[in-house]
Amino acid sequence: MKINKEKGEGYIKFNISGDLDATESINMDNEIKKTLQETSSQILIDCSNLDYISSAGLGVFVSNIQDIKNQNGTLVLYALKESVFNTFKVLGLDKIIHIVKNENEAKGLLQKN
Amino acid sequence: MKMKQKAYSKKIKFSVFANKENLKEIRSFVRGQLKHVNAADADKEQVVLAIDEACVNAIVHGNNNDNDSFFDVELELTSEKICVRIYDNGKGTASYQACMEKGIEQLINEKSKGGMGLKLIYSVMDEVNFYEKDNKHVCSLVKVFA
Repeated sequence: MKINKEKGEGYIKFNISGDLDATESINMDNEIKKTLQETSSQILIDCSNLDYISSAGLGVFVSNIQDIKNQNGTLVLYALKESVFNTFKVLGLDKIIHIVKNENEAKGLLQKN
Repeated sequence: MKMKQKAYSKKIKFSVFANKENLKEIRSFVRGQLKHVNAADADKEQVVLAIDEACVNAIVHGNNNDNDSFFDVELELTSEKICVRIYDNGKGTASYQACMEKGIEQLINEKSKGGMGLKLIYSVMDEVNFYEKDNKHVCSLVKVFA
């Protein structure tokens, strides 16, 4: 799995590729925690190259939502492949976590929050 | 002359070292086996997900992350369904009630990283059972392809 981090105007964007599973989730979790501590709580995640997510991957987002909210931040995931989106949907996480189609919509949500 | 097409049927059993590094390869192997089944891609991917989650449980809970130990995976595939059995060294069973007790909102409030693997398994598979056999803990999963 590859994690690329990019700084935008008032937000941090991650581009994640490959599989976010039980082996790889710790790296993503560390990156989000580091971002929350050091730079920004406005976080965009480009999932267009994310091929697979397991419960451990979902756990990265579930376990950090509260801290992001506490910092008046926003977490937005966008451009999910259908199979990845379905895994969020199975547990109803698509209703709890901001998931949108593309980067423009994601940035729009950041501005609203 | 009319010929009756032989129904697809395959049984595979393999052993894997209890190391999370092997999960990607297991998923790839299962996807390869599911290519022969006439089912929707979304259904096949749910089976891959459930097997992945069950293997994580076997590695972490069944074999205590002992990378030198191994667990067994058995797949029985037909055109209509897949039966999966995962044999590990663990004890006890994980009930539906126990895993569904905590809702997602509670997991968020507790900043929990876990607690979702079994929820996923129970949500995407048609039958989920845990039992003991020959001193092994067995996780049995069935998915019927519509």
